[in-house]
Amino acid sequence: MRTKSVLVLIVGVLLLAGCASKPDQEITASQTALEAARTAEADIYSAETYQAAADSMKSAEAEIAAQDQKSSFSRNYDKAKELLGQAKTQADSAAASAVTNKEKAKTDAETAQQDAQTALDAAKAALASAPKGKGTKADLDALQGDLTAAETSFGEAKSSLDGGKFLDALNQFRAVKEKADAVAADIQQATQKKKVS
Amino acid sequence: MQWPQTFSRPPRRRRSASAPGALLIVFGMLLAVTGCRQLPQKEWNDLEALRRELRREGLAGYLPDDFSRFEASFAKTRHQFAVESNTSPLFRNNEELAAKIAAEIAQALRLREHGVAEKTRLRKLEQEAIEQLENSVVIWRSGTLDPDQRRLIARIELQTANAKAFWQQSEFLKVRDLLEDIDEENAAFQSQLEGLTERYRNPRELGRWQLWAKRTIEWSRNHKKAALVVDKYNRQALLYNAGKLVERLPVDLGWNRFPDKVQYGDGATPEGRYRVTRKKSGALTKYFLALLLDYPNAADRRDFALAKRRGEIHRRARIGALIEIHGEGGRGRDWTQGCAALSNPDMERLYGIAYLGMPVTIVGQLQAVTEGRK
Repeated sequence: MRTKSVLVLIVGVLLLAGCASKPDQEITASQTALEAARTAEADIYSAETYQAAADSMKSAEAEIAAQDQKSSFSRNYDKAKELLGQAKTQADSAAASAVTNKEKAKTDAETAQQDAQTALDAAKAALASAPKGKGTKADLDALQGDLTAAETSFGEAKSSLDGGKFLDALNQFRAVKEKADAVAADIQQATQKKKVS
Repeated sequence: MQWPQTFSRPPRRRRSASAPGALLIVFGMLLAVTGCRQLPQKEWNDLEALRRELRREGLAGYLPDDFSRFEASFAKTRHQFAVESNTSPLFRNNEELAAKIAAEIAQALRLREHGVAEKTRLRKLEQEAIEQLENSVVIWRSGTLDPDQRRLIARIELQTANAKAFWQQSEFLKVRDLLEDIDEENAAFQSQLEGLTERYRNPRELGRWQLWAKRTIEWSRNHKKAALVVDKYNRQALLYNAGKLVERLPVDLGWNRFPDKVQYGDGATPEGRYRVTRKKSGALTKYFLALLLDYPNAADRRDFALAKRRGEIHRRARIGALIEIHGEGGRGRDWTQGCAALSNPDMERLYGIAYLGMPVTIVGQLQAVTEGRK
């Protein structure tokens, strides 16, 4: 009778120990979610949430490592599972935010591109139609130099946009627009000086 | 079984009274031990919060080596914290863990302090660099109408505007990289500029210009009449009367600011000793008022012929003419074909003083002469 009880106890303990297996499925799910977030450039477009997810993952790994050091009878991965779940939720959230933020950055950059293009076209048209005389030729030639530089920068901004560097592209296009507007204003001023003299 | 009288079992009542007491003592001792061995959870939370703050503020990029050492140490502490969390309170080594966390917190605080200091330092340096570039661009732009130079200047201007945008977004590490790119563009421009201004650093040229200016001022003193000296580098005309400097007037020059004039259409202002040959007003000039100079003089013709013989200019090149001191200036940039332009009020005053035969000496620069007369 006593032997039977001991056997039942041992089987029970072994069964319980068997239940505390490594949360491989949860680990894979969290790693996949983090990888997806990274692919969505969450480290750029949703940096804080992404970092929180990465931290949760690291904490989960530390917890798993701590459990692995324990005897198989006393292992418990509940906390690790909780951290892994947290990492996955945060990674999913970071990925979703990144998609939204990136899309917005892209739209902003494209709008800035259109504005810069319009400003460049206007400046070029103004330069082409400006009367070149003794008093204006040198001015207009110099402004052509300015405009050439603006066009070069526009090309660089476009490369940034095509390369997915939307924040870079946004600032570059804005600088081009500002310069093209200034050139257009200078052309107008040079032409007016000509009319005055 | 009968117990011997002498070894009879102690009374049950006494044994049952001492057992709960012993249990209570053991329980109390356990409580005391485990109570002292609580995890340093609050300190750990503080450390994590500090680390999050360091990341949120983006301080890692300012002290990359220090930060990676901190991260490596933090990873070990995190592991130890997890291990201790899973250890029975009876066997925990909380003192060591608490000491580690305290050390990490101290390190994080140091990192925050140094990181913020470095970020502030970089921010200030970049602000100064951007302002300096913006000012330089204004000066450079005003100094040239040469399309190639203007293209280089505009490139620097555009990149500076881009860097400024990132600076305003507190992306100081990005700005640092952008300013390095600008340095390359700047170096290209400076190298071109230095080539153009090389002769301004030549003592022989300076000596020649100073001699011209000295003779002009002496002539003014000896004849008790007005004379004008134009300093191209400093973009000013110095009006002398009876050998005394009476006024400094800002001038706009030929769009090709630095070289001496060699041929028609080169946009440079000639250097030499000239005289006013004609005073023009009304319909005779479209630049408000003008003083025509005797350019080209004999020295200019000789230099032109020499340049042609040496093949430095095209054999069909023509020498320039109609160099004037005229109005419609005051634009703050060099735009004429080679004349010196004054603002209309300045020109009106000069025109009133000027006379036929008045000396007008144009030099590259005359720093030593002007400083001596200040």
